[in-house]
Amino acid sequence: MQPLEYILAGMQAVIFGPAAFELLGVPIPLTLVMVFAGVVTGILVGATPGLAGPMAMAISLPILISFFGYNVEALLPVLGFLIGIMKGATLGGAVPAILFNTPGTPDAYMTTLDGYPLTQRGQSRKALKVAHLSSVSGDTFSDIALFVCAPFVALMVERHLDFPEKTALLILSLSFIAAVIGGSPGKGLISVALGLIAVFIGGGEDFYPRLSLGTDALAGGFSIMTAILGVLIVGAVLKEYEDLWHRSNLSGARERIVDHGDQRLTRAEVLRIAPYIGQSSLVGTIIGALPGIGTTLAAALGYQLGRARYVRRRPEGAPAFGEGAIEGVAATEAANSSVSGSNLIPVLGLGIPGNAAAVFIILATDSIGGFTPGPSVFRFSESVVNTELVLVFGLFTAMLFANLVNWTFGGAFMRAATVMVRVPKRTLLPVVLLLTFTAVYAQEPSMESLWFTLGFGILGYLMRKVDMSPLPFVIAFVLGGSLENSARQAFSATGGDPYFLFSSWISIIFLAGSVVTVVLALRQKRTNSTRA
Amino acid sequence: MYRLNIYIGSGAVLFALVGLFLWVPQDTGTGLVVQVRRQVTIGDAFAPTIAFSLMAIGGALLLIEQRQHTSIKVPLAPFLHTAALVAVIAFGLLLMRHAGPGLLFVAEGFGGTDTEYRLLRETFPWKYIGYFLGGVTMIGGMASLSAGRLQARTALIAVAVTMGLIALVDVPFDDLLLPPNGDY
Amino acid sequence: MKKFLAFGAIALGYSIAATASLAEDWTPPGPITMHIAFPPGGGSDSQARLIAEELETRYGWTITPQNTPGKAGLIMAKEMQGAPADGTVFGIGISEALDYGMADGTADMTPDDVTPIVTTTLAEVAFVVPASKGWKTFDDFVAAAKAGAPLRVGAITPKIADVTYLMGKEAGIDMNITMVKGGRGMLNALYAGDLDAGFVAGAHSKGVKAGELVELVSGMSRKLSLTPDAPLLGDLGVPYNLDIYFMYFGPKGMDGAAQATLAQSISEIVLDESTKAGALLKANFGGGEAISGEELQAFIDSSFASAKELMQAASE
Repeated sequence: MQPLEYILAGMQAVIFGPAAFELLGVPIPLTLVMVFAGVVTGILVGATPGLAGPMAMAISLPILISFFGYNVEALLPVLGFLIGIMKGATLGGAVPAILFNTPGTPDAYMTTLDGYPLTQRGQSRKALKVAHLSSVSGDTFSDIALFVCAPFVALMVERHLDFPEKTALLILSLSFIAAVIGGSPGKGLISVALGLIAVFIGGGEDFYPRLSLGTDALAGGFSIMTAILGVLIVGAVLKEYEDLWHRSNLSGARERIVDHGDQRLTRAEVLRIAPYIGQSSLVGTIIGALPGIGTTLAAALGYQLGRARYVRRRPEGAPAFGEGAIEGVAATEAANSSVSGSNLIPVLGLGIPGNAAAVFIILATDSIGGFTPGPSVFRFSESVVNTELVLVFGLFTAMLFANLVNWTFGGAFMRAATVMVRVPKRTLLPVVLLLTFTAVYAQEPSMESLWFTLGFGILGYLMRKVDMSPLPFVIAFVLGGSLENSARQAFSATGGDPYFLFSSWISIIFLAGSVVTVVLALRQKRTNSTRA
Repeated sequence: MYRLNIYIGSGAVLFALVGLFLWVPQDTGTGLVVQVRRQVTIGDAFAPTIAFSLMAIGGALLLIEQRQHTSIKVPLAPFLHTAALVAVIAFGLLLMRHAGPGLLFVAEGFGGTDTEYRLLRETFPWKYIGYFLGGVTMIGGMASLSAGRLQARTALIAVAVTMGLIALVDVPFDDLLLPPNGDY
Repeated sequence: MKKFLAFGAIALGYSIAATASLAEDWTPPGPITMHIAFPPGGGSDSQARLIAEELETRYGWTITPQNTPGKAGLIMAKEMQGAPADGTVFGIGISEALDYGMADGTADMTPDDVTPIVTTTLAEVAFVVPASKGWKTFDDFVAAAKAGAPLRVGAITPKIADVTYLMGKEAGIDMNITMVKGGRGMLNALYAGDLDAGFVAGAHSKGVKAGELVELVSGMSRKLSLTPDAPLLGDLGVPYNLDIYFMYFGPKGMDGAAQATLAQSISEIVLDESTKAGALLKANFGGGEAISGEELQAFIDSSFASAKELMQAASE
């Protein structure tokens, strides 16, 4: 097949794939229905304080898989739903930030700075419109970057990287993640190390399951679901509860502000914010493509750059950044939304996840057969059909459709999602917990796995408590197996060369890069704290 | 965070030392490298050794990171609150696991049919007993603990939500098992 | 070749039918847990799930499939220890778990600690190279290995690695044997040029048909169906083979009636190409092969003995 035929086949896999139901005699494709449902779920979840997109992805993944099965036909509907959540949640996150000054997700914090002042001035609907426009534009831009870049990254990797270089690349990714997340390379490394130790328990090539302390419980190792859902969700629930306890003395009554004045977004205003959207989209896309740097940094950087630009071009009498400038909302929302597409470049090209959302995309493809993210996906083979490549284009089609849903219905759903802000956390959090246990049990039906999940939850709580990001733990847990495998393979394939990591310039550069990132992060930390 | 970082850093280094010199060497089937089929390959101890070394490096870095001399106090009370939450969750899990078989045991004591929970685990009402009681305990217990009081409304919500989850998970999905029915 | 297999299958079907009267009146006393020794997704997992589905529709039993992967099936075998022997717990894995997996004693189990039920198919194991290398026969491969640097050869299980090693030793060549994860991992590494060759267990047939891969040696005790001219391991002086069956087994001391009923009902499904499971086996492995009873026990006993010898030979 020719490249163009692959693209068409991918679109057909979505549109002429299995139908969910018929509407007036027209079959409605299942994948599109799932994408739509995912976007709606995502907006609702994003708008609910205390919930985040990755949580919803984590809980729905085992249930979706049990429903759709492990066969390759399940891939597009399941991934469609997950990607819908991912995209919807970034949009929904802006809702409580703008209306109630409480960010639904951490990356929406910057949105409160200008969004809430707009609400106080009676312009909340306008602020939501700006957020919608910027968020969806940024997202679409990022997706296009993904479609263009991923195949090239993959082909480069396939052409130039052998086992040793692949090992070095994994080391680079992990040290990068350890160094940049959370602002403390020491804690980042500890988090990575904990993830690696956890995944190495029970594994190995020998018949004796290593580090199992001779117990049967540890012999099978910790499953990826117990570790990740435990640290990410149960840990977050415990920490949230503690924060609730801290805040219990504060009264929760919120003043209601009624909108007044023109809520329309004029053409002139759209033109005014367009450069901010463009600038932030570029920043967010670049940040997204690097593993480990999250949406929060993208939002902060987008906001800073937007402010710098605004200082020079602020129109007469317009509010400054932080006082309710629509440019401020646009700059943040475009930046944090444009992370999600380019985030999948390392996922699809290398099989390396860069953030929590990407972890669940990897987990979905791991569980469902017939698709292994990595360079081999992008073989444009002509004699036989590379079904994985068809699936990639199917996935891209689903992403475009999700954007379409966001463009058309997203604004209305955002306004409707306002009700979610009123859901009381106190009851919501234990429901999330029970749902998590149920989802883990669906995937791995033994009480042992629930106890492990609780154990990892306590670990996640303690990590959050001491300001140690759990994300390096999660990514190390996901990549640990591949890291050990590729090191073993590199060592055997080079005939037992102990210096295999230094056998080529590429891997030496990768290794040097990983040392440099840690050292730089450490130096920056030192300068920052002396200044403070 | 001055004091805290020192505690974490030294704890990490200590844990790493235990791992490197006790746990890994004692508890792996093959050493760092192993000779199989006249070929040297990486053994099972290699990867954990690297992981514990990273742990040691991370701990050491944390100790040398510039210390801010403002010690943030970590009060004990929130920990106790969270410990109580964990206890509620653990109690819920125990109920989930043992309520069904326990009730069957009691029923047999009163002259019910002599059978095993294993064989009843797919029949109503046995298959829901553990999940229902455990779920209600978890939701109701955590919400009440956090609010500091018991309310009928909370209990009602807990019952409704748990029943909703059963309807959501067990009814449409044939192969999905509710806890603890997969343990048999 | 195919005809012969089909004939064998029919003959087996009859031999099972003969014991049917004994089995007819067994029904499971409760819901069944069916362990699957493979990770979810992929052909081996689908095979098991489709068989479970068909058993449910045919007999109205309640079966819950559960993935219990790890250590080439040993983790599942361990799970069987202490499980109820009334036929409500059994699982599907590969025969290598029972022979090679238990041969060196570290697993603290022997094949006698489980009850073999029935095989579903024999994996089509072949020594495969990418067509781009230009090697048409095993001799070409050996010549290339002698001419240049040691070639990189992948192996997906320790048993396969041992056989690969002995094969190289017989041919007088050095190979760097590298463990890879599953057939999929092997194929990716072959396509990417990271590996030069390796034994694959069926996942390669599509690539062979497309002319991207070439089969050089049959790993089984019989000829390859796609490349019947390829030599057997015995022809190359290696006195072992890689006959790897997908098979069901249950806990030790399993109820005889349960064992016989399960063997019969599962074999009927895997030999019937009109079922989804049968069709899948046909497409991936050339068809189902159901061996049970004494014949299966004899196969396991002999391959357990030969696995011990293989381990010994490969460590010399």
